[in-house]
Amino acid sequence: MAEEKSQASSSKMLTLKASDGVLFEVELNIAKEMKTVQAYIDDCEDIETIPIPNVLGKHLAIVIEYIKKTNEEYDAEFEKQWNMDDLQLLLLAANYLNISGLQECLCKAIAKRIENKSPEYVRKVFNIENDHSPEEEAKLRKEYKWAFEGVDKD
Amino acid sequence: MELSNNVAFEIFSWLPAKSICKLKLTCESFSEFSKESTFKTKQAHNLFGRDDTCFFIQPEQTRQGFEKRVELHSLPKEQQSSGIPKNVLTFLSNSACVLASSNGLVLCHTINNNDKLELFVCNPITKSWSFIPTPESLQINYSNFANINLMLDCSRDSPDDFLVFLFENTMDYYFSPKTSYICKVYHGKEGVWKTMERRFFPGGRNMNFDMPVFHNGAVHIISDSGDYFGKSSPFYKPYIMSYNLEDGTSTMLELPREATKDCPAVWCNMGIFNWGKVTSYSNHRSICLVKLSKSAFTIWILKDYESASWKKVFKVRVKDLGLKEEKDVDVERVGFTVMNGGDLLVFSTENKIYSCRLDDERFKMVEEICKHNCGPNPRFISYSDTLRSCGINAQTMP
Repeated sequence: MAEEKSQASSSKMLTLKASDGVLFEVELNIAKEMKTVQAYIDDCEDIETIPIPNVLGKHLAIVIEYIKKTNEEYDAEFEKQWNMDDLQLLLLAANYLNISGLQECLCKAIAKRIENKSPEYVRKVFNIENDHSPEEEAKLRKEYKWAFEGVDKD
Repeated sequence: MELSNNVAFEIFSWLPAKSICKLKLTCESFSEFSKESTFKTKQAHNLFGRDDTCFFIQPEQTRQGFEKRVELHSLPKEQQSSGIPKNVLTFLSNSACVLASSNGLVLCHTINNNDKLELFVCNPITKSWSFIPTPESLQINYSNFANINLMLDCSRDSPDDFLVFLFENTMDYYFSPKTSYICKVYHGKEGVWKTMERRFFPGGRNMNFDMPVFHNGAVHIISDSGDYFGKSSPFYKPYIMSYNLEDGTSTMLELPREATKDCPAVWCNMGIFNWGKVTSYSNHRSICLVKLSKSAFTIWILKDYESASWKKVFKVRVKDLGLKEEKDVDVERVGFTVMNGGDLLVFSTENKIYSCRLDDERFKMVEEICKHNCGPNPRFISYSDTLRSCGINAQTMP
């Protein structure tokens, strides 16, 4: 006679569907780390597949892996693997999914990468226009001259 | 890739203050949000407990009055992202003695010999300062600045607040022969000095107040090691005395036997420093003891607070450090400190400052940081640049 084990809520599986259609089966307690997903579950209890419209499969995979593995060592190594574009997309994904640990980790990682760079580099990386007037720019450059010692070459 | 202001706000709040100042040039909105007090508070909060990236060095307390010199140097690899404006450093150099620093705030006292002694807390990056009313005991005219026992503590949770501790010596004949210290605490937010009910009893020895260690809710001070007690006295050997900041109890903490076996001695250079770090995953803080003897640096860490058990973790002979000095190092003129919870031992010879990594017993990587002009036995105060506010009464520095 087959024993029917009632499934404990921690081993219930959910499916997440990324914006490019890739499907991921995850345990409920992993999915709950994403507060956005948690809210979705709270609203519609019996849902099996949850759409994640803003996040590509490739990034959702990384996010899920992060949640599973996160600890001090993993965090330290995690951010080294990704280029700046991926880091930014991952941050947007983490913001959308509302995963505070990952948000913090990524913000720190991006900050670390731009710490020693010039304003020109930062504008390029984040696609921002310089909207300072020439007088303002000159004034700021003079006031913060000391902060420009030792800037990385772009 | 467009970046919303909110996201930029978050990212920038993890940058050291020097980088933030530089990146104000990126665009108008970055320059704007970096001025907001919510941003500054967040940045100071995020950088709390992060490794310090530079340190102040100045001549020993008694010489600061004449020499009027404060230098700030960055640790190896941190030159690009740390530092303060030159004009602020010059100002401090000419008119103040740096006493302590915490989360980007610096506690100083003025050194204009003819004027009254004034205390202030400043943030060199935001160029703001806030004066602290001088307690009566310090209002005498000082010609040398020894015995000003002041410490600064900033907490992570109250961004507008800071605490300054003062230990006033009282030659109290009623309680004699023991000297005791009255501990007064200044609360930055409230703007008043409060006196702790119970005094600090440091035992019989003279205490070394310029390297206090805050740990376990108490401030720990190490004694000197002069030869002025007989063998039967409980204070024969040097020790640490802790003062609990909640209830004012004074407790003696024994030093490792190996460290004190040659004490009391005419000359013995020992210091205590914070050891270990707090991360979001663990809390391994403790105290370390560094002893510089005639020939070597030795470091012990306190493994168990209750039982005062120490473990030796590091030893290096001065001659094995490979220092390129013109003459032999005069060990009696060396000053040192441990930074960042035991990552680095930073020490100075007559003219140069070096750092030695402590994380690997086998490869003691020693780097020369810079030259200095602060004379023998200079004082080190580590610093990291944040935008933390000086609280109420903050004004702009001249």
